[in-house]
Amino acid sequence: MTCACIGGTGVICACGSGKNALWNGLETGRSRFALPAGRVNSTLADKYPVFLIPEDNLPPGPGSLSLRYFLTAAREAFNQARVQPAQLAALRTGVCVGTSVDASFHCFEAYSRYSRQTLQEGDAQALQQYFTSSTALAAARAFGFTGPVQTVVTACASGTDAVGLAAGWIHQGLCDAVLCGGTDEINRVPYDGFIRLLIASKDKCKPFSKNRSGINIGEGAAALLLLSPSAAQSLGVTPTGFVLGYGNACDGYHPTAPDPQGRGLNKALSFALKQAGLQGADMAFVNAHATASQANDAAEALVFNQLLPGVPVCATKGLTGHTLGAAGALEAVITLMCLNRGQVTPAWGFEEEDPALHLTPVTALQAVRGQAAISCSLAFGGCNASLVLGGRQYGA
Amino acid sequence: MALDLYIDGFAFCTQPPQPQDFAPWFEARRLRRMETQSAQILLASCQALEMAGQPVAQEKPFALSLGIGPGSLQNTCKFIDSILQDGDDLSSPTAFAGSVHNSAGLTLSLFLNLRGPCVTSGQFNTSFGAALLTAQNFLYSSMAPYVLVAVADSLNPLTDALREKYPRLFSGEVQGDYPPHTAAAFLISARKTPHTKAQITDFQFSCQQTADVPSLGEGWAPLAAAPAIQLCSLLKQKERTFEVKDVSLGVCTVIKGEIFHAY
Repeated sequence: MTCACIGGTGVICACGSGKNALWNGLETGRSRFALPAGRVNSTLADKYPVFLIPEDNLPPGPGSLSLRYFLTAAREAFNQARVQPAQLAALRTGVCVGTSVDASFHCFEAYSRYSRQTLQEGDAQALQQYFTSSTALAAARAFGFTGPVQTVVTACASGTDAVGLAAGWIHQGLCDAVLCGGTDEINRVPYDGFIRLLIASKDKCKPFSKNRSGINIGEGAAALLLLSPSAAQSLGVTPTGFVLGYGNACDGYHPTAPDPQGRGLNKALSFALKQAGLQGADMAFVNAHATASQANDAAEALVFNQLLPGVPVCATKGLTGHTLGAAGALEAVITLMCLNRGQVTPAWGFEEEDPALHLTPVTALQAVRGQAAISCSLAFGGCNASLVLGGRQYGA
Repeated sequence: MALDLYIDGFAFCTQPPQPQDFAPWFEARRLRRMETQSAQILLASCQALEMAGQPVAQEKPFALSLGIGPGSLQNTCKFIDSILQDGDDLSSPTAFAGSVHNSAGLTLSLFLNLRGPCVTSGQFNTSFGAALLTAQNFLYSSMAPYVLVAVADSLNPLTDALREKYPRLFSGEVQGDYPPHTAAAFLISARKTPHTKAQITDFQFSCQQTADVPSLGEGWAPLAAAPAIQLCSLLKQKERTFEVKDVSLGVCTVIKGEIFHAY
């Protein structure tokens, strides 16, 4: 694969807004893990904390929280690349955003009134807005981009897929630049849904631990500005990293559980490595999906032991929560930050080795060698996706 | 276009399928509890595979690229109903699991034994263009030899009620009656085969920023399958060429091509 340059990145999550806040959290474990209170009006008897963006970091402005999160992250990416959206608008620039909650039918109050046969005019407008807008479209309009616009809804692999597909647009020569990433917000539907599926934990999640007891949902966004090598050169952008490979494969196994043999993940990861022209041993580390559910972590451990023996494994959902459609993009940015700092961050929440997994994640800030790493995502519906990313010194 | 795209099979479906529709491929009991959107997209996909001379049951490394309008509204509303009627503590986890956009992708990968890549795009009635773009991506990077592109819409009584009550809000881009449940499927490859029915010679999918494009918030357009069904209809005609042009939500989709056989 002809690599796509990463010109800049941006994030917002429970650690705060911006990559500095995120790295501070990755080093110290500081993040906002709290009961959802007002924004999630659930009457569940048992309360489950979630990883929420602090109130003082909520971006102002119109549109859904997911849109505002993504625009915030996008602006940070533009700032890092030192390009103005207008410069990109003059090129063939596309937008590819992964999400889950943001694209799902979320007009809870309007639907509730419909059920009680008390629909109001405002409800119709809310519904119409839902049916005619998306974060990807709104971002393209906000920045004046006229390339392809796509919303990827492959559940929790959406962010990884969005970055991988965007890199493909660069590779094919369809675009000079692509604003890509993922975004999601917490509301009553995913909050209740994950708890009712009995895969949420009341404690902070414990990825790869023997006593892991489920996921914590979170919210946030991550944006990556991808550029073709020639566009990067013409804009005077020094790449902060590269998308080297992307793989995707489905399990065809179960609606909410991964294939215990990890067959889909194995294929996705193998293809991403093949596309990058690299071997497992070339990887500095792997950033696991690591939701801390029993089934997910077991499937991932099996595949990592097969394809990436001895490669350090990091896991970040103990700090950010599972940000659903944003997770893959957020973790891609974290992977890049680790590569460029030469350090991989600990798996916050890990407590006790699980002898069944034969895998111990990184437990303290650790120096890593190498300029390429993998980020993986698994999703409901049996979707698996992997990215091979290169740091800014890759190939130097 | 970065590469040629060939259509080996296609089909569409505008009515909720009946169990007997699946008789050539599956036992009826396998289809129990399947919601309408998944059943429709499965039926259209089976027919498209059969037209392309591909076995339905055999495991295949084919990719899946789905375009879903508003997602599985039936299941999402079922989940919300369960919260409203039974309370949050007794809300239905099954409905929630089925509400994710890529639940139809799981249905197809399970029933059709597809084990290649799978991506679902959900951008209302620009979803078909997005799904075709993803198919092109998969084929260009050699992730799969074929891509099953499948699209579906699943509206619900709420949207029907709103359309009836507030017609002015729903008179934008889709005129006239449109069936609430629709699906279409295409089997696409990057090389011509003995089964090839048509070639896509030009495909454009891009956001427009011109002033005459409807801005967001105008129109009623949750219909992913509309341009796909139009393409199916054109492929069945006796003309040698076809062109589908759809401008929705400010996104322009243009698909032009040549038909190799008339049907």
